[in-house]
Amino acid sequence: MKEQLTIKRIVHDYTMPLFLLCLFIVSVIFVPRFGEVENLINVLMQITINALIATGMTFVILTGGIDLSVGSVAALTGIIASTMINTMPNSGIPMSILVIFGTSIVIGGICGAFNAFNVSQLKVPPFVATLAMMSIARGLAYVFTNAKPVFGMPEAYSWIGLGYIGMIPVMVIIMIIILGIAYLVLNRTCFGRYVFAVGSSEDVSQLSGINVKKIKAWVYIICGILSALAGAVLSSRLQAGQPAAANGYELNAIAAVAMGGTSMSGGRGGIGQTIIGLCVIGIINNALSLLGVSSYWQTIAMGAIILVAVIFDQNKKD
Amino acid sequence: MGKEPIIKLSGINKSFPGVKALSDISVEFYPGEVHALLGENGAGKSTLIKIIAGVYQADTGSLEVNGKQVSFKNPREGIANGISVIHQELSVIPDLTVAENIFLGREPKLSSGLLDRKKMNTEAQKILDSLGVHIKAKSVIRDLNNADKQMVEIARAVSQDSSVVIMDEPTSSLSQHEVDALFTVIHKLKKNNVSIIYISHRLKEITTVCDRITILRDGTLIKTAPLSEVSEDDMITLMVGRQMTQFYYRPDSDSIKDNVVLKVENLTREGVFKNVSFELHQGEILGVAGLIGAGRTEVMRAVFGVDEYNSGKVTVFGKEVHFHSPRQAIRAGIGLIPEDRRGQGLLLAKSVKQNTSLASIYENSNHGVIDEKWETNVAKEYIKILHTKTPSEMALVQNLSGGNQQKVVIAKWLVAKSKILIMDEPTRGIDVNAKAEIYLLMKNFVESGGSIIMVSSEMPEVLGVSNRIMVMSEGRVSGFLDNKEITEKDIMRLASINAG
Repeated sequence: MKEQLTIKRIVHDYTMPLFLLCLFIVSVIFVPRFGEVENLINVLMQITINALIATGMTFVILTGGIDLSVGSVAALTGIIASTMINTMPNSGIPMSILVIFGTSIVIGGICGAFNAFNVSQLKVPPFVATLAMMSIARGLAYVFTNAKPVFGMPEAYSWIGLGYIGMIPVMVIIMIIILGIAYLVLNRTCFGRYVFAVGSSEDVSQLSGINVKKIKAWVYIICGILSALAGAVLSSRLQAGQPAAANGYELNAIAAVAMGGTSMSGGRGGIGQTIIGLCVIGIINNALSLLGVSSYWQTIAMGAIILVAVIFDQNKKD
Repeated sequence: MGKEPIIKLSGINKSFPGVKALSDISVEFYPGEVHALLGENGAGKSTLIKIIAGVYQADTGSLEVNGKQVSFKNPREGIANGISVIHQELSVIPDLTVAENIFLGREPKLSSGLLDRKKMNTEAQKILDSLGVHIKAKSVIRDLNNADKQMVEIARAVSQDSSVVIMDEPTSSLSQHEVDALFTVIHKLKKNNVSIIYISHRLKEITTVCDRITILRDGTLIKTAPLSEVSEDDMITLMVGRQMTQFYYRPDSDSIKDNVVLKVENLTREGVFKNVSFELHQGEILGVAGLIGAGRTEVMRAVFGVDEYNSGKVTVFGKEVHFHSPRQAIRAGIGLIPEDRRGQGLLLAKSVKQNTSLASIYENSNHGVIDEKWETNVAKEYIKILHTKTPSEMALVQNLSGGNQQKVVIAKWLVAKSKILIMDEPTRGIDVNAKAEIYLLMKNFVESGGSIIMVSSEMPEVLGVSNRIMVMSEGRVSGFLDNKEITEKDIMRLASINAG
């Protein structure tokens, strides 16, 4: 009797991790080649771009906001990073790294600060403010390139997107570091605590002496920088700066965050949840590809699975 | 009264978990009369009208409407039986027109199923005209003032053929001129044989407009009588006449020092409060009494830096300040325990630990990195000091009782080393035993050198706990009372002054 209760309790508290575990086991058993190490590393590589964006998105959603501009900001940054490295054709790996991270911080920081100012100072609803930014950044990407992709980057530029250290891809290492830092910031620092507090109740936070506007501003800046980094890494991986890149990535990121169980109204969730969401999405995509399911059907399956997972999570009894 | 009562309540009892809200209430309401319900906050007025309107169901006792015994399951059944309530908070939809609001949910339709706008507008206009108010049926509610919005609610009640209209503090947001207009409409309704149940704290209004009064106190009916038989003075006595009990812990006056820790001079916020001045001494509990809407909470929020004020001077520990955010006030040693504990005091879905440390976590961090050992220890320490009943410091505050939740809020400020606590309705919704514990905590706090401003609408609490009492009415300070030989009557008299 008591044992049953504990099992129920575990299922209740760890619905999504258990779902991920089942999905993993089922895939290993039924999908040929899924369980091989190279494939698993492949899964990690496939989720990296989404992971970088979803990490920033987690901060924003935890405060109860949303950022729709991430995909456009990623594309704009990819173009600018590519263009910049092309002005230095003899660049090596260190310069490439500098360009990728430098442009991410500057371009992502500016776009994020613009969102932040509109949301926290001018009180524009986050959905609208970032929708505007989404349009502006995408437009800038086209204007900047005349709608033509940027090619011909030096060899070294691809190291981040395509290179390996040992058997681990460089971009997977970047993802793991970023996720780790984000986890520590959210769970071990006052800033992280304030992000949760603001998302739980702005009134309570303000009356407890938290600078609510400042916290709300910073999450958009963080999200801008991380989406920009995703865009720069993507351009390195594709060896091209595409103005149409990362289209619709905001939805993938939101899906990963929501799927993990982070509340869309803020205050509850975290990076751990987002990682689970990312893995679920990554495994489903990878497994369906290995099974030869067409990418159109994959999209449909993805939508259905996300919906089922979240319905299950939302409707469980407290 | 020769007429038959339209509503007859007999032997109504109603309990909520831990509180007996109404006991054995029997009262009759007649057509064509304005019947006042009087009583302090918590006397049971709201519960009573909610039972009449069908929001609550009585535990025992009977409700008769037009001689027929009824039992409403929900407010819709009440409305269907001709009972309308006009709530203190206006319940009109701001972006619809007057006519759309009046016919909300009962819109006239054409045979095609589309709305019959023309009929709706003409009918609505007819009702408005019959009330003698100058409102156009086609205007959008948002463009109307509060008084007109209220008239629209009354028009809605009339359009529903209501034979009973319950008005809950109808004048709380109206100016004197608007009040007069409301009274004209009330007279019209009366002539049409509508029975009006009128709830107000303002005795002057009651003596102007009501025919009979019923006084409630602590859930029991004290008296029902024609207005002519009860003087204003009697009303006050009957409302408040209560025995003081021993569970209040008034701190020793000896603990009060001469030094002023907080001084507020001529604080004014246009249209909200005016020329508010007071001093708070070290070791003192200053009670702030007054009716709901007197501006007490607003003054405290302005002092604490939540809301802006237009003019005036605030001095804290001898230094002139003007806080633009609670953060600054907290740094200066002030803590605010808000009226709305669940909405403004606590992160309900977070743990006792996180709530306890919320206001001081940065000050105790290592360059922004949370000192988790400190956080856990301080949470455990204050659970022990305040005797907070919680399974552990990790329990979510939403699962604690009201009294224990309040202790967590208090712990937050004690951890933040606040020297001045502003407590707004500190024991609202808290059971008797927990109240006594909160009073004891307050006493300990001031005796160890702190100071408290306690805003409270509960008279016994104000009298039982405060050293001095400031009474506010209509956004102004109407007087100070030294808590030695004053009675509730003195406070009530000051609180019902219509300043202005």
